[in-house]
Amino acid sequence: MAQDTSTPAERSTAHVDGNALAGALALAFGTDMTTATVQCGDCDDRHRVAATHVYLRCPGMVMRCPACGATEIVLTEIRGRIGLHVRRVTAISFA
Amino acid sequence: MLRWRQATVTQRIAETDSATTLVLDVPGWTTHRAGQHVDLRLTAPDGYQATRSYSVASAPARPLAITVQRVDDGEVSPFLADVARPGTAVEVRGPVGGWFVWEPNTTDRVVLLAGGSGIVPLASMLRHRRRLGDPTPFHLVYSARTPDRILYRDELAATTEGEHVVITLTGDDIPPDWDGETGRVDAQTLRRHLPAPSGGLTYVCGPTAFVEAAAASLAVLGYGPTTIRTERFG
Ligand SMILES: Cc1cc2nc3c(=O)[nH]c(=O)nc-3n(C[C@H](O)[C@H](O)[C@H](O)COP(=O)(O)OP(=O)(O)OC[C@H]3O[C@@H](n4cnc5c(N)ncnc54)[C@H](O)[C@@H]3O)c2cc1C
Ligand SMILES: [Zn+2]
Repeated sequence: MAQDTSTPAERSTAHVDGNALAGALALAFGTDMTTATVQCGDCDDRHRVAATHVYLRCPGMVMRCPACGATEIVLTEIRGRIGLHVRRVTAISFA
Repeated sequence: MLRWRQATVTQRIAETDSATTLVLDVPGWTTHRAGQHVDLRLTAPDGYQATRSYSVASAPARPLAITVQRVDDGEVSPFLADVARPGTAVEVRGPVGGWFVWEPNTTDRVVLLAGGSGIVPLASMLRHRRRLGDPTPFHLVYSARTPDRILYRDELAATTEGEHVVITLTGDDIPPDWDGETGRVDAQTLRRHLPAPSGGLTYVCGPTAFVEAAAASLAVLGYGPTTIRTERFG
């Protein structure tokens, strides 16, 4: 397949990863969080924030477990105000 | 303290028909680590704001430069690639990201796999290596659709000792004089151009589909998941 024939609607469902949240999370936590380790509240998988699947074009930025797809964190950033909604997470460890 | 800063475009470099490098002056900017990005924010006259991430293209300690590939129906990239000029003001936050970074003297060997504009943070790593004269062997495989989409072409071709650069074209119309690789990055292509998987770190960056295909091909070659760092541009 040489040409990208996907429609804009299809592409908008493509995820990026936790690196894309580096700026918003650094504001929320005061330190880089892409190297932090998260434990999923649904499947117990432990992974780096950088390895999570992130959907940017939802209302808010949705960070999902790369193993089971559970929503771990939803972040909103409206007029400089960060909203951090923790969903299916049992632990976050970072330095 | 991380915060939004006013930035001014000081220089605009047309890289290709569809990609532009912008050099930005950001008061208070210190420096970045190779592989990091900035968040960039545009504000419309009615107050509507759009934020996107752009990798730093320049080497650490050099003026901040980003390279923007135009996405035709996009909200932000056409403005940056086609409209922004010296004097244009934008807001920038960063540098951010501590995972997708390369530091000299930390690894025996570096493998870089780039798809499309995913070359940008990897170019920062390569520029860093060249500026420092760092001896770490670098192996770059860069996939682009067509020759006119290749970013930093001459610079990438000017390899120094210890660098291996391979460009593969994935588009339909391969020019007859093209003597590089063709076809998508798969396990066979990688086996031809990469060293055996021992030691070292691998950085993979580009569109999500590219990153996933490249990471799967690395796994086929026996590259361990803990040695691979990925960044998806969407
Ligand atoms: C960590 C990180 C670093 C990045 N670094 C760079 C960089 O150095 N240079 C660069 O050019 N881009 C980079 N990007 C991508 C960039 O942030 C934007 O997504 C891109 O410029 C498109 O924004 P837009 O507003 O023009 O398009 P949008 O208005 O956001 O999207 C328009 C349409 O294009 C699709 N789309 C969105 N992003 C892309 C994409 N990257 N490629 C193809 N289609 C897309 C959307 O699904 C939508 O259908 C990076 C992304 C991330 C997460
Ligand atoms: Zn899970």
